Parts: sequence; C-alpha cells; structure tokens
Amino acid sequence: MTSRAAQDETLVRRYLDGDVAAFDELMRAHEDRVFAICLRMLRDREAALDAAQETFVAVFRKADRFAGRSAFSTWLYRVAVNTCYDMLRRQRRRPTTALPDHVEPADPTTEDQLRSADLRPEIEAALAALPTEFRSAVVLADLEDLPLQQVGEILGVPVGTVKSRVFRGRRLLAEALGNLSGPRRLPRDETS
Amino acid sequence: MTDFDHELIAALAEGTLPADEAADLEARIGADPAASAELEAQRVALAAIAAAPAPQLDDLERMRLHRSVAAELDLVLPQPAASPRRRRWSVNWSALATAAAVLLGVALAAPLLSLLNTSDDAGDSTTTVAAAADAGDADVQSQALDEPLATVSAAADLESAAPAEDERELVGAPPETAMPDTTMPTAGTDLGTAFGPLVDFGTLDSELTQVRARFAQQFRLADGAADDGAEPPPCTTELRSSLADAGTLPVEESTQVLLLGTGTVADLPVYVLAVAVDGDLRQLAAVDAGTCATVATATVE
Repeated sequence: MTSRAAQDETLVRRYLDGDVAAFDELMRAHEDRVFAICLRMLRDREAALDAAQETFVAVFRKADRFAGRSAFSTWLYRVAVNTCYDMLRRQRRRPTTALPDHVEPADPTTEDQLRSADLRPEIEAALAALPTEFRSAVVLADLEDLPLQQVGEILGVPVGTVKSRVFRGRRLLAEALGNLSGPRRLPRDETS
Repeated sequence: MTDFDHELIAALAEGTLPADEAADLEARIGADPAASAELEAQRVALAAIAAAPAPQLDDLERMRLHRSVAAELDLVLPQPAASPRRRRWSVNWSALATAAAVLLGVALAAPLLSLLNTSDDAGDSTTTVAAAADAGDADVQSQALDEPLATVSAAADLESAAPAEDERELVGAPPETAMPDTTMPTAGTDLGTAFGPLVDFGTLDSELTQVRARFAQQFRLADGAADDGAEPPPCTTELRSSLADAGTLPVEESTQVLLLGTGTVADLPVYVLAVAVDGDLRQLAAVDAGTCATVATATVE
C-alpha cells in the first residue's frame, strides 16, 4: 500500500469518527485530480464542478462501505468516471453540434476558450471525438498518468483491455488531431 | 495490418524500451508502412497529451466545491488556513450589517455631498442608496442627502431575518436575508466606491460604462438581440429567481445576466453579476459562489 493510500484510509476512518478536518484533507488531496478527470471527460468547467461535487458527495455518503480492498483514490476516481458517464449520457439526449472536419485554429489569446477545459482547443476537440471508453482510458492512463493496473480497477476491465483502449484511443486522438489540422492518413483499426 | 505487437509499438512511442532494443525495433518498423503509421500516430497523440496542461481548480471553484459538498453532507467546515481572523468560517451577520451601514455612510458621504454640490449638472444621475442595517428601525434615512439627488436607506433588517444566533455557520446555508441594495447612477460610477462597502472585489470592471459596453458587446443590444447563444454565467437561474422573489425584477427570458467578476463579502466568495431587462441594465448583484444565494444588490437607475 502506498503512503497516500495509507493516509487516505486513516483519513476515511477519522472522517467516519466525525473528524471534519479529515474531510477537508481528503478533499484537498484529491479534488484537483477528480476535477481534472471530470473536466477532460466533460470539457466544461461548470459541468466538471458539478460532477466533482456529485462524486465527493456520493463517496463521503458511502464512506462507511469503504473496505480498503482497493485504494480510496481508485474508488473515488471510479465514482468520478461513472458520474461523468452518466452526465455524458444525459448530454447525448440533448441536441449536439457535430465536430467539423476542419476548423480554424482558435485564437490562443482568448482566455475563455482556453479555460473551457484548460486544454489546447484542438486537443480538447480531438479528445471529445473519442468514444467514451477510449477517452476515459486515455484520460486516466495518459493525461492523469495513473498506473494501468489502477486504470483497470477504475474502469472495471482487465489491464489488457486498458492497454488496448489506450492504444486505440491514442490512434483515434492522432486521427482527430489530423482532421482538425488537415487531411492525414492513419491506419484503420484492424482489431475493432 | 501490422505484424508488430501493439504493446511494443506503444512502448517504443513512450520511450520505455532499452535503447538497443528500441533502435532495433524502430529499424524493423521503418520497413513496414502500416507499423510506421501506427508508431507515428502513437507519437503524435503522446506529444499532444504531453503538451496539455493539467487543469486545476481556481480558488473560487475550490471554495465552491468544498462548501457545496460540505453543505450536502451537513458538515461544518473548519476555518480555512489562509484566514487567521476567525476561529471558524462564519460571519456575525448583525455585526456585518452594522458595519455595512456604517461603511456605506462613510463611503457615500463624500461622493454624495460632492453630487449635491454639482446638482445642477447632474442630469439623470439620480442616486438612491439602500444599505443593510440591523437597527430596529430599518430605515436610516440620510436627511442631508435628501431627494431628488440621493437617499441613503436601509432596505432590510438583517437581524430580524437572520438566525437567532449571532454566529451563523456558512456551510452552504445562504444568508436568507432581504439583501442590501444600493442604487447608483447609470454611468461614470466607480463600482468599487458604490458597491465596494459591501463587496471586496477580486476582479471587476470598475465603471458602469464598461459594464454597459460589455452588455452591448455580449448581447448585441444595439441589434435588439436577446441572446447570443452563449452559456449563461454561473448562478443565473438562482439570481433571476431571487430578484423575482424580492419583487425587484420579473422572471422573464428577457432578463440577461453578465458575469462582471468575483469578490468576497465577509470572506464569502461571490460572483458579481449584472442584470439587464430587455437590454436595459437594471441591477448589480453579488451572489454566493457556493450556493448562488444573493448576498447584495445594487439597482441602476
């Protein structure tokens, strides 16, 4: 068990004993990463804040069920990803605008655009073009740099599946980036 | 289709293979166009990912998140470490109300007396200022600033609307008080002076003329367009409801809300929002960034 995981377990116990400071410490330890995951999944700061809030509320409400079999962070990020999936499903029920084949590069000085997801706009758009299961794998493994084993636990799939999703996700990301900046030929996925 | 193992191509792109193994694999992949394209795609994606900055909560978002989660869980948050002034994160509302009334009186005396001296050319800039006060008699009329130029009045009795306890925990419960309201001239007014006694501004356009300009730009008021399709600022829905409940503004789609900036009211993070009805700037408001409760308003005449 890592020291972070051990600290989290202690903090969860303290929280369950009524120590509000433990709640604060747990929030501070994980809020940036939970927010980052949600923002990269949802591409909207307000939606990401809502998802982060929903995540923390759900986890703290069920903290007594945390058995410590996996790291607290794994459980927390799993709830975050599932919350984002739910929000994306809800979003899909509303009309959306298709990603254009070619777009003009955004003005890099436009702060609002940059702050929408804190990513470069073309990367943001390319990430959004990925199917959700590939996006979550790329976000967790590559953007958040979590170990593949932990990504597998978060997503509830074997490590081999994580590797495959990350590989294919990167390929689709590169393809989307190519589409956004001009025609580009990339190999088709022979495994799909 | 490539004969190369995806894991090997990924490892090569990630740079995790030993140098000699990487060189050998790269040479072999170079002879296979499909594998080369795979490797190139992995590298393009990884380069893009490496260039992506890590998103972070800003201070206001962090505060909102903490407070909203704590509120959902009925928790009382400890005092933020950065604020040494109180042992708990709380506000003495009666003291705040008194302070606000005093501060408003002090802050407004000079400019309003100045207005009195220039009343002949004051044009339409009639100024009415209403402030929070906890006095039993809520109206603190400034007789010296008699109409039509300026009136200072307490629009609300905060104490009567606040909880019985002096110290009210700010865990997500909004200050359910009739909010203090300030009325100010339409143009050339320094918001820091007019709204400042109540709101400690973080970022803000300093002049109403700039606010109007931003409204005109964002909502294309000159064209009569009601909506440019942009996302509304945070707390827009709650602010509309709050103003409608207070009888200040109608709840209509024609109300437009513009985020002017951020600030604090007694350590409470707030958004400072401007509200227009049918393109006419009518109201400024400070709303709790965590709960969206309206904390203070200023009417623009």
